[in-house]
Order: sequence, then structure tokens, then C-alpha cells
Amino acid sequence: MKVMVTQESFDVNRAIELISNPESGAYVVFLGKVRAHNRGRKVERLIYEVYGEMAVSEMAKIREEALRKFPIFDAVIWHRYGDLPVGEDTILVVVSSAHRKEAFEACSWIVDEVKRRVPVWKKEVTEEGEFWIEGDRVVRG
Amino acid sequence: MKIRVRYFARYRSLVGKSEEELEVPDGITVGELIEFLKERHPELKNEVFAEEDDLADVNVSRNGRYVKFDEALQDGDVVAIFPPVSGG
Repeated sequence: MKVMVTQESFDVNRAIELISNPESGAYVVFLGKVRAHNRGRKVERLIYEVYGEMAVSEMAKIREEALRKFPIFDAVIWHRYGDLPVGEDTILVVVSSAHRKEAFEACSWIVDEVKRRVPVWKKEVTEEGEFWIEGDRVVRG
Repeated sequence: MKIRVRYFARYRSLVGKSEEELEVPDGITVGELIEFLKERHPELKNEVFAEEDDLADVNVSRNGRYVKFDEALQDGDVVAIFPPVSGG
């Protein structure tokens, strides 16, 4: 599936295979992971909550918009949810195109749109307690 | 008419449940539903809608699509109320 939310870790090669074609000379892969520090807080893990049906339809829309907006061949957008310790994969975006420039641009645009629109929320579990991340705000959980 | 309201993330914690079915007046708008929910759940009123620009941070979807506050709802709709997203 080119667009999905999952609790399983990503098979990056499988994602690339999904959009491989002989005319593609460029595959740009963005892989997001859980980082150990955020704004000075030491993070143990993130708990991702998702509105599954809406997240998938919003990701599908973003993919279709990217295919219209950029001269690319195809794109994969996967997002994880559940309990994810530091170092775990969180988001994967892969874009294929003839040349690298449009693939880099489309990949960056897709990641920005996912962060802006897709109904997924993270709660940080830190040494100082738990915090909901709401856009740019941090609210004690 | 009957609608289903779903809550996510911090709003789910505040309300204490992830969804509920509600009997609401026919043709109620999204904005009117928010007023209805503020009365029903004082914790939302105090923690989410307490500021002057109280709708600025609240996202609402209707049947899985983002919706504006003046849109009218229909029987059987699923409305979700949630904070700004933070995926990635």
C-alpha cells in the first residue's frame, strides 16, 4: 500500500520497490525517527495516537496533490502509531522521479503537509513527565 | 437527529472517552455543536475554550474531512474534535 498507518516497523526497500519503474533515475527517501531530546527535555519514547480512517484519506489526498504539483512518478507515505521508543521509525516518505531535484522538492513538501494536516498526535514521555505536542504548543499530559 | 462525536489526543483525555452518540437539534451547525459540547463537558470549556480566541486551536472534521464552523450537520454524521496535529 502506497499510503498507510501502521504499528509495524518499516521495510524501506519494500516501499522503494512499490514505486520503482525503469524511467526513474531518482528515489528520495525521508525516514523520521524518535529523537532523544526535544527542546531541552530528555525523551524516553513517543506515544502516537491516530485518527486512522481520516489519516489515511488525508495522506492519500496529499499524495495525489503531490503527483499533480510536481513532475514525479510516484510517492509512498507511511506513518506509524503506538508506543515508539527513541530510535524507532515514525514516518517514511519515498518519491520517485526522473531526476533528483523534483524528487527532493516533492518529498520535502509531502513531509510538511503531513505534519500540517494528517490527524496524528504525539505524546512525549520524558524524565519530567508526559507532554502532548499540539502543533507548536507543548501541554502537560 | 443523532450524530457521533469522536475525541482525540488531549481532548479525549479531558472528556474521558473517545466517542459518544448525541441527540442534537436538526440542522445544527458545527459552531453550534461546539457550544453544545462546552455545556456538556465543562472540562473542555475550561481547558480548551477558555481563551478569548477560543476556536483558534480546535480542529473539527465531519465524516473524515476538515469542516468549517458554519457548516450544517446531518443525521448520522461522525464529527471529530481534536487539537492541532503533531505527526511526523
